[in-house]
Amino acid sequence: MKIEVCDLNKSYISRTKTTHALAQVSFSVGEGEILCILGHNGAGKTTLIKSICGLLKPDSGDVRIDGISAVQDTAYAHRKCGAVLEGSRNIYYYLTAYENLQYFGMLNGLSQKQIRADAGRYLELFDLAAFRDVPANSFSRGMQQKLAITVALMKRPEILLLDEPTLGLDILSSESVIRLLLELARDKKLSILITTHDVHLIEQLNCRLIFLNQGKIRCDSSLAELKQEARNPRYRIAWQTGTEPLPEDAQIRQRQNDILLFETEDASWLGGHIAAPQLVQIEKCSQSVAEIYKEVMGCV
Amino acid sequence: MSNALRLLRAECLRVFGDVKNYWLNYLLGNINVFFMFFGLFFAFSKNQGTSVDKLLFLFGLMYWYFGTHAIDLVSLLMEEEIQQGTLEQLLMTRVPLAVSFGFRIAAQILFDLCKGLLVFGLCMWAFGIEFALAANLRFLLSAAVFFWGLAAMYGAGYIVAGFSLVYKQASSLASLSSSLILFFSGTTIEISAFPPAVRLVIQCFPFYWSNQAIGQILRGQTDSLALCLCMLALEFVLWLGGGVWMFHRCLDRIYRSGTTASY
Repeated sequence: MKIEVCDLNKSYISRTKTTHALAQVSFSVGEGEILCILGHNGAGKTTLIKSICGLLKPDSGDVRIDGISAVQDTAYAHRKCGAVLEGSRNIYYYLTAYENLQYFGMLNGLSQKQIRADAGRYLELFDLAAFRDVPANSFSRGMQQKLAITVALMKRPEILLLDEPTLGLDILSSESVIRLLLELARDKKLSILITTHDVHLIEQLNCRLIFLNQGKIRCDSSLAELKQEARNPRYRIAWQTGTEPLPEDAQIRQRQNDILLFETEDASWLGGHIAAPQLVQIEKCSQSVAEIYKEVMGCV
Repeated sequence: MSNALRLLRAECLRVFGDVKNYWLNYLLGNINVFFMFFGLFFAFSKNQGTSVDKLLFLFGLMYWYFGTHAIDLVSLLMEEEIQQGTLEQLLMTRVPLAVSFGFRIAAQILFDLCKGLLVFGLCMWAFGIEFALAANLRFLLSAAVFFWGLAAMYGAGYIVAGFSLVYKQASSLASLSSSLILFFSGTTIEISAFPPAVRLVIQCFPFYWSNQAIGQILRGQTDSLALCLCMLALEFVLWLGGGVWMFHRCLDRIYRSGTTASY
């Protein structure tokens, strides 16, 4: 395993209260695996990310990268991880895009030739090539975020930690980030950990999900498995209207002439009407990420 | 060696990127330094001394200006990193923070040297110091001792920078050093004028030994030069070593408190 998180605990103590940010958190991430960490605000996602990259020391437990403790050897964790942390700018605003990449590239031991090659590739990929020599302070929020991701990639990390990577990105930029992440995991075998609230990103990555609630893991499963295991499957039904009453939870989506399109979770009603002549079509709906999230977190 | 050069180049890129944006501030700042030195020169009646006395006074002023700068620079850089939100990205690079700041200081010294040469030359002309004094080995040795003493002051800078990782606006501590160096380094007031206890405290700072050594080199009186240089070497190690140690202690503290992105 590339990353092993073992019984991680972290509390923040202030004069008035103690907040348990992480409680007995354990999981592992393989090489080339993408893992999305979901949770409400303050669930402990950023604390977890920072513990993995060695920016935060846990109260107890360990994070091992290639078997080496990131808690004991923070420099090793810093070397292996590239990170874009939410709330930080991650780039120097008064330097140009290329100067930022050059600066961080040099600090990460890259030669000028390597910097030129990587910078050229990523600036092109994120449509920033035309803004190569423009100071980052004149960039839009999305452009700055793309540059921050590029800076994290410039160190050629083995682990990529992204805290809200698509925040502020337009649809096309978001798509290019998704494509890049899939490519990095598949071709470069990068282990990627993402915290996000972007359901579109999660759907597109179709990866393993960890749901974090009040510092504890509520669920650790792949999106595909979660969709299959959905506790209350939902059905989309095309129904020829008549006198027959609809299920109580029916959500009407469309009405065309005498055909009604509605959704229901009432399996017993469906069982009783499966042979009914009014039933034109039946289809099992796939649960959305938001619905799965609410179900796992107990918000329904 | 190539790694060190690469790091120095990276930091020069950053420092000169800053200059590019704030060049007017730097230009007016230099003119201000010249007027300040010029005023102090007459305020302390140094115009009546010999050329060597004037040169010593100029070295003292330069030490005051750059020494104060040495103490507050690292903490200001640190506060700037925290405010800009780039500290975490810097911590994540393959270079330890104390080392990358070391190279940033080196880049800043190179930049200050360019600034300093301009102000120094202008002051030599305005103070009526013979330019021949700056063209011999004694002057070069004095300059070397000056930078050695200055480097030791960066140790104090690391201590304040460590505090600024933990406490907001800790760089204000550095402002204390301004009066301390101006009045207690022997530049404006003779050290012998102070009570013995104060003299003892002054000797705990590298600027005392640096100024004493420069005075002896320029005057050609080398009777206690060896002692001055030994004490300077000892204080260099203590201040710089202690500074980097304290910096790491503070860094460890913010790793535990999880406040790498804030105070």
